[in-house]
Amino acid sequence: MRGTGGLQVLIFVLGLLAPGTVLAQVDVHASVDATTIGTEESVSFTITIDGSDGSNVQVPQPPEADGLTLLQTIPRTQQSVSIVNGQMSRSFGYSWSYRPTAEGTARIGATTITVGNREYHTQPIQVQVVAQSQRPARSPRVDPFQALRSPFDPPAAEPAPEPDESDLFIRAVPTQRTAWQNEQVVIEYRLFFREGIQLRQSRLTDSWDAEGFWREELDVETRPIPRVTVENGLRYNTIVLKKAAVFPTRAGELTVDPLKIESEAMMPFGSRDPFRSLFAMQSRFSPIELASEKVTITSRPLPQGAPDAFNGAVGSYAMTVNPDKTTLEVGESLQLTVTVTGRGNLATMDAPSLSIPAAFDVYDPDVSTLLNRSGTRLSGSKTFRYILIPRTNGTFEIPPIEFVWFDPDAGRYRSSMSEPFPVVVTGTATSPLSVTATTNGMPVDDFAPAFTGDVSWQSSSSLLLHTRWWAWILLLTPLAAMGGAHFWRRYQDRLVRDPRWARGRRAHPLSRKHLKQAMELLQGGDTKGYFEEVERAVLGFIGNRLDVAEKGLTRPQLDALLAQRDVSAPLRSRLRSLLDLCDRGRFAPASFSPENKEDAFDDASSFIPDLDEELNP
Amino acid sequence: MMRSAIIIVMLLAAPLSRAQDAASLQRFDEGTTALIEGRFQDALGAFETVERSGWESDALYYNMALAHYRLDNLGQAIRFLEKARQLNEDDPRILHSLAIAGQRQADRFSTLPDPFWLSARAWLTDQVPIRTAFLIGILCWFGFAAAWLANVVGGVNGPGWQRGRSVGFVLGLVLITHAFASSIWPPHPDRYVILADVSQLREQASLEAAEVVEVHEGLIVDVRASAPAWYLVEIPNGTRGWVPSADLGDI
Repeated sequence: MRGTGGLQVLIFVLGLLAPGTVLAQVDVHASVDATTIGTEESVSFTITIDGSDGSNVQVPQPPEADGLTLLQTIPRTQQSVSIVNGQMSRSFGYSWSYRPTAEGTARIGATTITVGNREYHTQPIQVQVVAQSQRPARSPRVDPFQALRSPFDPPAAEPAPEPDESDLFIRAVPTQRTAWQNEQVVIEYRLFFREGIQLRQSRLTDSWDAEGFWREELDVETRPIPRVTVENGLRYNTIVLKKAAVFPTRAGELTVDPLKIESEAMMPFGSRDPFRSLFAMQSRFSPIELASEKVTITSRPLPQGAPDAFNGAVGSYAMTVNPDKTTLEVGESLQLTVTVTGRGNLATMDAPSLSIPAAFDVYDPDVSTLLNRSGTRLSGSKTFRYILIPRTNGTFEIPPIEFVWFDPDAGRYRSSMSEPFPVVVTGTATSPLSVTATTNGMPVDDFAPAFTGDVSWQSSSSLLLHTRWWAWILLLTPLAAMGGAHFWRRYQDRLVRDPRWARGRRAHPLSRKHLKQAMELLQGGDTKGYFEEVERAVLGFIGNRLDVAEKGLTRPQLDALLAQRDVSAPLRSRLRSLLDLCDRGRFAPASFSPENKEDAFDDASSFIPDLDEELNP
Repeated sequence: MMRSAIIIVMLLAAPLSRAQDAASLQRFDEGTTALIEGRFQDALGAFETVERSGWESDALYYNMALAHYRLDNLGQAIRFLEKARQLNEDDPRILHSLAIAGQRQADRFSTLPDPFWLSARAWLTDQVPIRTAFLIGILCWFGFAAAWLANVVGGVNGPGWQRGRSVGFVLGLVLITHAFASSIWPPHPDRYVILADVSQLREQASLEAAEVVEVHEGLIVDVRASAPAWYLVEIPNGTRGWVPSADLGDI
């Protein structure tokens, strides 16, 4: 913090060296040097025309005032030129002094000033006039006899004036009070001080902190040139003490600590006596402490639905991807440069995720960050340089690399995606490139080599055991065998144990056997034997089925036995006819023709099943 | 007549089938050559031809895994490595490559220990594989049946025969039961690999259902149930969720 008079002269001279500079925008405002004065003090009223060098300004008339008397009709003029961030600005001003006529509320009226062809109107300003005893010893009126004193007389002792809050303060100006998480907010700390106040030995008292924020300092002028501004009708010089970009690291209400400085300030003495000012200088600097107000930022969480590739970047970005080559040999390195440029928190930005083919060794990227702190926002670039080394030959495609960020202005996620590009790797890769190997000969960070040589093949049929038919056959075959043996054993046992049942089981086989023998006898020309066998088949079947000794039965006994077993009369009649036929055949075989002989066989063949059916209803 | 025709057809088909097998296996050698020369897609094409022909080997699956790994298909690489390990679980090359692939797998879930009875069954199945148990069990079963028949049909009996029949019956019953039970209810559930880069486990078999957890390519999961186009899977830490079947590959 320094006095500004010398610099103003310097800048004024620079302004004269560049007379051709034209400022496009004109701004007119009125101000006073104090809004509260004593009855013995005066107030200076100033009309400032920003953006003009005064050449096209018609000298205005002093405004009328209530409760104040104009001390001079011809205004004082002042001109200033400043260059901030490479931009030159000019201002031109007219000042009049008023003196109060009585205690109370005084008023300086509005006035009109013509700049070029345009008229500008100022606003009226109120001034409180209080008793001089209520005012601090400040800006005493000029002693009219001072000029008569010897310049070598010691200066009269005067109390040092104390600046109050309206004379000197720090204001924190954030670019916004509500921000997304990790969105950039720039806070500018401006020192406001009244004209004539000089500061020295200024320093920050406490470490400025912003808990819950990532913060980056932005550049401010090391030799700031005050800019004139009007606050509440008072004219102030302002300089930027500090500028910081802060990034909320979490959601919620986050507070930035006040910026505090200690300094020594000198109030304007008001005397035009250089010797008096020189002797009084040391005593008129008084220590002061200044602090800005806290700044509260409301941080909102980022909206849902972030793409998978989002890694937390918020701001405005662009990404470029550049390989240094696309054709290389096995084992040669390829440098892939991924650069993200834009505005935002580049320091904490993570690298975009890569999906490089496994045939490449990918080393951790070399990261470099270039931040531009000179602008109104933190910007810059972050570069990730990857080294890729192909293990094997072939043509590979480096897939697109996607960088996703949240755009706070648009309120949505944006992405930048590179184009895929092929990489042709030539050379031979008969062995892994790894120069190191594990104790069992395997490459340290790669698959083992391919299997070659003898291969043991097998069917890939994946049918499970319980779905294989042969498994069930193998399982059930012994069971079936044992079951069969079991029933065979029981059959044999019953044959032995139950002769009647055994004869019944043999009835059919024996009758079929006799009938078969009968047919053979007939074909052999033995008619008598044929009829004997037919009769034996029929009677044998009856004897076995009924478990009787058939040979001892007479025909009436046989008929009665069958009737007793509920054999029908027609069937019994058929039996009698058949047995009669057999008797005739045995004793008078010549009476039969060959066709008649076979009738007995047919009758017997049909009679046996019919009888069996009636015996087993 | 019919029997003779079948035998003739089989005799004629045998050399033809052998020729087809030889051609298929020659494709394996072609694929291996392509793999070494860096023509990974060509290699995979050849290997898949062999696989479709009904043959398998640890070498085939390992080389398929290596080709997929070179093509940056981590999920498929892990899938075929696991297949290779099923056929040759002690091969150091397979185990080493599985460890390398596992390092690239993004998920780091804790592993839920199996209940002791599942561990015991798995141990038993490892010690006595299904086919071995079935083979020995069937031999015991046949021995028991023969002894039983000898007794029933031929009247052969005695203390030695009785003990033999009892041992054959009990041993055969235990081994065959173990073999069939392990076949019907495997001690290890069906295992699948996540093949998609990222997949969401969902509470229900619907894309509209709430997400349970996000998993990544190469994670091995157990399948617990299925629905059309969906599988209910369990990840190593015991979390369950539905995954589209298109995101999975069987082991």
